[in-house]
Amino acid sequence: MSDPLGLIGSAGSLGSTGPVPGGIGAAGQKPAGNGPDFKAVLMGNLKEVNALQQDATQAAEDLITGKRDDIEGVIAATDKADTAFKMLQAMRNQVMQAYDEVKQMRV
Amino acid sequence: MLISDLSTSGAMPAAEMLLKFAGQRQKIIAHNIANIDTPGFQVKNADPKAFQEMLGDAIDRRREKNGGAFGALEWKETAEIHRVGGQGSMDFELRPSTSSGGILHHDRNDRDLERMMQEMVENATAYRVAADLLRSQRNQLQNAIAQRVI
Amino acid sequence: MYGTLDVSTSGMIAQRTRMEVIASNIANSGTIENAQGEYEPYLRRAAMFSPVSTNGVGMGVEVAEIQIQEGATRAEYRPEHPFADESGYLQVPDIDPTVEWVNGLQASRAYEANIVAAETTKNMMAQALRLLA
Repeated sequence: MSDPLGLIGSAGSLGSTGPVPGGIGAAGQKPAGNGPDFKAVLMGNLKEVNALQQDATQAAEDLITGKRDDIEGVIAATDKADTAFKMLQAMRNQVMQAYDEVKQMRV
Repeated sequence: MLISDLSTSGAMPAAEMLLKFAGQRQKIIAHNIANIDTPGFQVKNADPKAFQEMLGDAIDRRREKNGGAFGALEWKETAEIHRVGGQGSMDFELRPSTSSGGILHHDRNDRDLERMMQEMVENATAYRVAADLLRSQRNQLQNAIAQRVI
Repeated sequence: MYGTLDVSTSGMIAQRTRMEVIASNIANSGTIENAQGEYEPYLRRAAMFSPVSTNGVGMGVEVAEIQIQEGATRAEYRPEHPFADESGYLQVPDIDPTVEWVNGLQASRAYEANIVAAETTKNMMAQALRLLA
């Protein structure tokens, strides 16, 4: 069974003083699967979204100050940044929801 | 800090400046068109290129100062653009300079209806671009605050 | 932005006034009697425009006066007319319908230009309002 969050593993039985699963990206937790860990994926996406936002801002400012005159480019850049941000937002909402569900699990 | 940064993030301050500029310039262009048959009338113009240069400088200074596209825009007055209100105010009024040159007609009026119409259309387009940019950035900000995905 | 609409409206009013003056000129191009039946040839009228400013800001145009052009008559040889002078000449209004017609075209074109300006301003105001919606 894959374990992207790295929660299942060395926790041992309840009440043990072993390492407590710390959730996403906890120090020392290695994922059981063989893909990139969630933290790296998340941070990578954050950087991408940020870069797209910067691009869009730069494009809009260039259009306003007359350094470029193609409005289509600005529209495309703004659209990409918008969509990427909304995707990140949706991802974040899903993660929060998942965390809430897990929190409410009676063990 | 957080709240004031909200209203000056990204390209919003630049879009606001362009919106105000185009709005005031529209009056000047309408004045020129209304006086197209007035003898001896001098066509007035507020140079958009000078405004764009001034804005470009202010944007570059903002990036240098804050290391990114946020923070207040500090713009400098020019011959045609005068600050209204205290130091650091974002409001301005346009004082157009009279343009020289152009054909002198028999009634000593130097206007060109076609060029005036072109200027008006370009001005209206710039206004629309600024308004749309402002609206999309503001909507995005609101969605982020409300944590909505629309 | 409302001041901008005032400017275009003032342009429209001025041009329409000018059209009325031109229409009056054309209609009266043969008038040599006044309302009481006395001999008074119609003198050509002309609308004089002047720009309007408030506090140094241009606010459109107005008709400063409707000038009655003195001496805008020409002599026509009509010896049989009761009002003719000793040599048989009559002063009739010096109105060239072609000139008036071209002026009318120009006024009409300027009127349309002001309408387009007002429409553009109206669209800009609508754009700004969409910011709130």
